Amino acid sequence: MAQAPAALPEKDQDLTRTYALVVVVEILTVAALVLLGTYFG
Amino acid sequence: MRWLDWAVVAVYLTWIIWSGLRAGKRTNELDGYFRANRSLPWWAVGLSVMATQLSAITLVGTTGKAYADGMRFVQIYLGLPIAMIILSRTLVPFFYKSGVFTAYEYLERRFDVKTRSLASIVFLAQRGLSCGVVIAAPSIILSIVLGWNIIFTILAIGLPTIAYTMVGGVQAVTWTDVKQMVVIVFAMGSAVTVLIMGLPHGVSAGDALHIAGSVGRLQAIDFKWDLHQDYTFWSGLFGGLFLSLSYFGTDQSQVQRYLTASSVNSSRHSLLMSAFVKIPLQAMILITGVLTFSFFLFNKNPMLFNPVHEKEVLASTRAAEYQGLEKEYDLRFAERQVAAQALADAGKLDSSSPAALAARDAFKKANGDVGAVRTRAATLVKDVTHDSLYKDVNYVFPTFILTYMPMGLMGLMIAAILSAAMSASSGELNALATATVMDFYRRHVNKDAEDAKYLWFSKVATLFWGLFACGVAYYAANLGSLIDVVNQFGSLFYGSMLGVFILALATKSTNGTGAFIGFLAGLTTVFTFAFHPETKSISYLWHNVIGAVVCVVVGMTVSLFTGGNPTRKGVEAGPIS
Repeated sequence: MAQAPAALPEKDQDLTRTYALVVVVEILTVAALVLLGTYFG
Repeated sequence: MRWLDWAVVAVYLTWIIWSGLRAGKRTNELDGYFRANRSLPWWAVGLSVMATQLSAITLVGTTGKAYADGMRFVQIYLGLPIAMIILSRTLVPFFYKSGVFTAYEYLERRFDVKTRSLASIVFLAQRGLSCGVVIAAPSIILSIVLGWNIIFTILAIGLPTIAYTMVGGVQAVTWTDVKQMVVIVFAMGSAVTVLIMGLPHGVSAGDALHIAGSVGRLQAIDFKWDLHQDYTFWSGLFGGLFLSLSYFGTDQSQVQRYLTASSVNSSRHSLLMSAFVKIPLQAMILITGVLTFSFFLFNKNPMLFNPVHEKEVLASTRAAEYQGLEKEYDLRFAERQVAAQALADAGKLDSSSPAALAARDAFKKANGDVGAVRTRAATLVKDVTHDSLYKDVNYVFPTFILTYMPMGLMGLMIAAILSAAMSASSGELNALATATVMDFYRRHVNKDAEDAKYLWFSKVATLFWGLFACGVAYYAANLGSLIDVVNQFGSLFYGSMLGVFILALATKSTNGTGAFIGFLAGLTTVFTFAFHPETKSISYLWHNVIGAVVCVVVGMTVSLFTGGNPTRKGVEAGPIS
């Protein structure tokens, strides 16, 4: 039986863009919450 | 509850227990039982992370808070996304590559066994009690509003959770968490639909939000700097950051979730899922509470939502006074209903027109009048029952569910409350058992036993902690409104625990003695702040910051005077031998 190739060690993904996206989404969420209070308040 | 509701709850419980018991694969090995052989997909782990945090207290208490106080509570989560980024870059890869079973295991490698044991004891004590409260809160509410026996409700939540957690370990916990999150989201969606459909003809969801917004219910963000207010932008951002760092980074009930992921990157993604979703999800739960406020403007609700306290007052010598207040409440409620309808009608024209502004003022006054009657009734309850902490916000949403949800959907909502309680407590039980076995039994009692022996002991530990939590829940049920105070209990410990991990990862010269004394100093300072008359009014969110700062400063100072860490013990990442 052919042996399955050994799994390569996983490389750490560069998540810098995901982190930046988290910050952008948070800023937009806070802005949306402020607008919600202003619009309906 | 009608037959269909009972059927829905029965189907839910059967489904969860059945799937929980069958979820585990290779659970006859320690790694399979506690870490799922590091095989779970990131999305399942991510949902499990959220489900463990989302207890029934969150579901029922948060909607009640929004009903009474608006959306300000959402600010507590503002530090969470930043915390997830920090953890994703620091602790997550460190824990994962170290191959630990518990977060505290790493502390022995970095410092010494006494620091590991102290951290684990603090976790066991705090999380064991908190697991009891997680079960107690929905049990009390369900027993009061449904008329069930309190022991029955505690066991209805506790026993199935103990059963599947004992048998299936962390895999059963994670996969049932996924299903329970689906039940919760689906049930909340159905509640929002019923709330909107229950508004009178001509009043839209937008009108309902305008009405609620006119009395400040939609003011979510408060930029005022005030240490004594629990929920401001700053306390949420800084206090919430430390709270989230500590909870997700050092609490075994969360660390264990992401140690089960198939890779470091999967672990990171599972946490980042919360970073994206948590604030919008909580905002949606709070908006449900705000819509409940608008719903109860047009649909009659009792003057006070907790029927037990009402009965106590009606059986007392001051019953006539209470009945007088009820008559006044009926009158004020009718006036407010007319004012709300007028405001909805006026809003359709021009919201800045004099007529609209007058309608707005009239509604504010009418709402204030209703609030004043409720306050007088609550004062009367406090006088009669001697429960000085009395508040009925936790009963608002259950009252809506039981009075206005249609047959079948009511059962689904009860299943969602059970889901929230079970998902939070199962993760906690599993983590309590892991810490008991790995940090104490294997470390101090039996170092070289077979996996089967540890597994047997793990199941006994799960059963022990489950029964302990049910016992605490029964005791906590008699605490009445004090239960809300107990909910803030975690913040007494979190900051100092975080401080120890900061010392471990961010400083190279701290030694075991420094970390141990720093930990104790942090705990002592926070307890002093929390209970001293001069400082106890400071918001509990800041306790997390205080504990962490004191622990780090004292830990580094003591290390400086006790020889530091000349061999650089345990500062590099890598597997623990």
